Amino acid sequence: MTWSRVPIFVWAVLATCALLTLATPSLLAAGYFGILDRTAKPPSS
Amino acid sequence: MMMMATSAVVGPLGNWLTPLMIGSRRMAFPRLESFSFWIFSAGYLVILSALAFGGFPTGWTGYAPLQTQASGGMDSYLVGFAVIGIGMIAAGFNLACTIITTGPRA
Repeated sequence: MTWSRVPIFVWAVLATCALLTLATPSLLAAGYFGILDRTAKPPSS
Repeated sequence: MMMMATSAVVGPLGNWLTPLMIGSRRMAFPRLESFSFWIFSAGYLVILSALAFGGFPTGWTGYAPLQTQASGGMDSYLVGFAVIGIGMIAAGFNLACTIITTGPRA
C-alpha cells in the first residue's frame, strides 16, 4: 500500500492521534493543577 | 467531549480497524495497546464513582471557578480524567507509530 491509497479513516485516525499526543499532556497538566486547587489550597483563599 | 470522541474512535475502532486497513499484522507496541485499554477501563470506573459522591456540577469542561467550589464527585472526575489521560497519550502514540512505521511504503 502506498500513501495515496490509504483509506480516509486511517488519515483521520492519524490526525486524531497526532493531536492527541500533542494536546493531552497540556490538558493533563491543567487537570493536575485542578486537583491541587481542590486539595492544597493556598493560605489566602 | 474529547474523552468521549477519543474513546469511541481511537479506542475500539482505531485499534481494531487501523491494522486491518493498512495491512499490518500487528500494532507497533502491543503491550502499550493493552495498557491503554486497561487504564481506560480503570479511569472510567473512577469517573463513574462520582455518582456515589454526589456527581459533579461542571459538565464535561470542569472549568476552574465552579470546579474549586464543587463537592465530592468533582474529585472523582479529576482523578479519573488524570488516569484516562495517560491512556489517551499511550493510545494516540501507539496508533500514530503503527500507521507511520508499519503502514504504507513510499
